Amino acid sequence: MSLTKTERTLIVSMWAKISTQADTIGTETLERLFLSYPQTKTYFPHFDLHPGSAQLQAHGSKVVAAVGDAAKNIDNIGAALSKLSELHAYVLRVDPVNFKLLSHCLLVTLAARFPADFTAEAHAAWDKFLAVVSSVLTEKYR
Amino acid sequence: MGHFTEEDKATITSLWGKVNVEDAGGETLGRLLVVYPWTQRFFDSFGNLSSASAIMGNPKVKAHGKKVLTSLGDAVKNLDDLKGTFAQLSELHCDKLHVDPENFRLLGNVLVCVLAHHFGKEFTPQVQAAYQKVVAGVANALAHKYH
Repeated sequence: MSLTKTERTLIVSMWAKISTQADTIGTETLERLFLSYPQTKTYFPHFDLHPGSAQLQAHGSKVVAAVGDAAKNIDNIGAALSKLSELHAYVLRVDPVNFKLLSHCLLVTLAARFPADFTAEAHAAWDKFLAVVSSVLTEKYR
Repeated sequence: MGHFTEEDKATITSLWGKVNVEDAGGETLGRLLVVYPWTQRFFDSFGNLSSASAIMGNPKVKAHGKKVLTSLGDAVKNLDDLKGTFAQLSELHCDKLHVDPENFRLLGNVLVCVLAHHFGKEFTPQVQAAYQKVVAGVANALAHKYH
């Protein structure tokens, strides 16, 4: 699965808007994840997960920053996220099913915050992009 | 399966009251076909599905989307007995339509995106969580009679 030129353009242009709200988008995405899919909290026993917690905000920023790295290096996501890929494979070992859940919650956050931009085509492009990011992050699992 | 608290039910019902089933139905089915093009396999008779704009403007997609979402409205009214409510539709989807239940999960998540798109801030994480329970419950109910 690889991104077309049109899809890359859509992703990069939307990223420009997202980056201005990156931190709050990250926090909201994680809030959505933990509420809709409580089992995902099992990866964060060491965190204070209350809305507004500093840890939640810091982690949300991290996640969205990584998505941004992928968007800024959209022609070579594998290289851009190589270290993160190793981290997930050898240290974090988050079950692959959770990448779909997080991706969905990010899409929902984008849909809610960018109604004019979240057209059917943008929706498709972002869903595909996040699937590519997810597969990069799991490609060293075994 | 999923249990709906009284708070869930109030949240779900109140938002659903503001949903335009015709518009949301067309949006939801259309986006399913755009975002997951392999789902078009069930709709050979629908005519032009050659581009995102063709799909989103297709009158058969809109009509069928409305049908699907109207049925989901029944779910909202019967949250405590989704399996009973969807028993016949489950048999239909298995025996006549031959739809892989994975498609129900895809459609459910597209609906959640469409609701977020339409309601914006109002579609809070709490509201989303309640609706994820609905779409998961409906997907399971529709798969329940498969054999």
